[in-house]
Amino acid sequence: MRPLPLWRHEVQRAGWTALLTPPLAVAAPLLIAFVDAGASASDREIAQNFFGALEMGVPLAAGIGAASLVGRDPAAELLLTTPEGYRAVLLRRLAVTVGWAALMAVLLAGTMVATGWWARWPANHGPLVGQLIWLAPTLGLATLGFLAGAAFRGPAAAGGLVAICWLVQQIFAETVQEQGWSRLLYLFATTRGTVPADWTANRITLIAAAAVFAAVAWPLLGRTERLLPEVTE
Amino acid sequence: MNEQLVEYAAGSLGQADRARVEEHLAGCADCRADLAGWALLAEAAGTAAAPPGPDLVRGALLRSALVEPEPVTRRPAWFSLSLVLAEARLVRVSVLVASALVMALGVVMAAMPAAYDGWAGDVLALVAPVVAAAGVAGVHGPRRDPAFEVVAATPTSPRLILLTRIALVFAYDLVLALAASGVVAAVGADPSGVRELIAAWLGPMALLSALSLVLVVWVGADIALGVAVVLWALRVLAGGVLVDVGGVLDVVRAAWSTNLATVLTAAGLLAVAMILAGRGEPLRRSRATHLL
Repeated sequence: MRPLPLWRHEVQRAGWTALLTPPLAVAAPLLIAFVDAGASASDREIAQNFFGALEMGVPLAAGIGAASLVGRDPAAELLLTTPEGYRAVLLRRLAVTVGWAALMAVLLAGTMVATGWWARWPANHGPLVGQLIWLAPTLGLATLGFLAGAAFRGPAAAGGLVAICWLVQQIFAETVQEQGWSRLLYLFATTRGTVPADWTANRITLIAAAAVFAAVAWPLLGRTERLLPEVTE
Repeated sequence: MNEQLVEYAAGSLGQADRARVEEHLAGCADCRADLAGWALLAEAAGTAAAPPGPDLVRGALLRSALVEPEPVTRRPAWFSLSLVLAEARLVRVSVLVASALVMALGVVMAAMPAAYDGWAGDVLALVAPVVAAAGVAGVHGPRRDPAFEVVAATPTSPRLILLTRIALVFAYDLVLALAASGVVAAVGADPSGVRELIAAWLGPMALLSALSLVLVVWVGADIALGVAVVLWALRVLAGGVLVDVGGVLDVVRAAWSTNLATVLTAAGLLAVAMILAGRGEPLRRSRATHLL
């Protein structure tokens, strides 16, 4: 199959959870920010919601979308009979899911840079390096969801794990930041604060964690019979 | 000539054609042999019993008018129980296990040292609704239900089947949440008592599940799950992470509580889902065979 029809097909098979959640996750905080702007909120307060959409909304959407990729494909058995490995198919769908969430983030971030809203948040880290604000937690949660999907063989437990991880970091924000190691794995270091000197290390650690999650998922996805729903080994 | 031989044997040819066939037969031995075969067939057909005439139809109509119709077969008393047991077998075990695990994690978080008054109730109010909504999102539709086509072909109403399955899943999540509240109260994590804990999550759980159900029936499970996750995330962020000068999140907070409005809205959404579930042919609906 030629590349373009192949990727168009994978976009269709990624599912609405992966495609609809990122724009909704970006749109909801944006709506609140616009209403706040009409209610005479300060620039910093409005910018906080913009950055919240980037650092909290986009990663959660990507994580839930990635967690929904394994175990719900009605054509999984058919794909397993084709010469191309099922792992490659799932990786393409992960790329579609993360890529779509990244596109939403880049559009929002680009608009913020162009309109000057990016500079109104004190810890913005510049328009280039600052893209790690959304990129690092997005990669972290998406690969965690993907790995959980491969390990649990279904979207229900995997999505639950991603949601709980996101929730724990929200409601135990202060506790997570008390220890050095957990501070490095904190997803919301930009909008909910961290030790300033730790920010870059935090982002690099999240990306490294994403690489580890992907490396662990790789052999699990290679055992394709595990990915079939309702099949016991 | 062969076709005319058939009609000749049946005696249905006109005079001119009949003369022409006879002239041909006088000089063609093959056609004479064929004619002998057709004549045998015509003779056999002539001895067959005549088809039933109008008397048969009249007799059937008269009988149906005079004889009382057979009484409508009532469903046996154990039908409801059988339906519940049959539907219980179709709920995926992975969904039940995942729900229990997530709720257990919620209990652990709620039982941790309270950051403020009402902490445990707030944690359960964040965990229980999303567990129930995700469970409801996974029980209906051709892509989530392994027996969707078979069930759609049965004479049992699709509304009854959907209602039974939703009741099963929701009841399971309700029991989980009640047990979680009991455990949290038992370990003394919330001094306000079990009733206050239940009130914290019951309304939002019913509302988010009902909204998820409408979306599942209307547009599909994936969209229902996506919308439920975004609404849930908004409620989490409404706890002070997002700035809300305009009061948008006040609406979210108001909807995320147990009161008459949330219960009535949930009931209304459930009714809408039941109406939508009975409309149209489930397997011929738009995009039944194309995923997007």
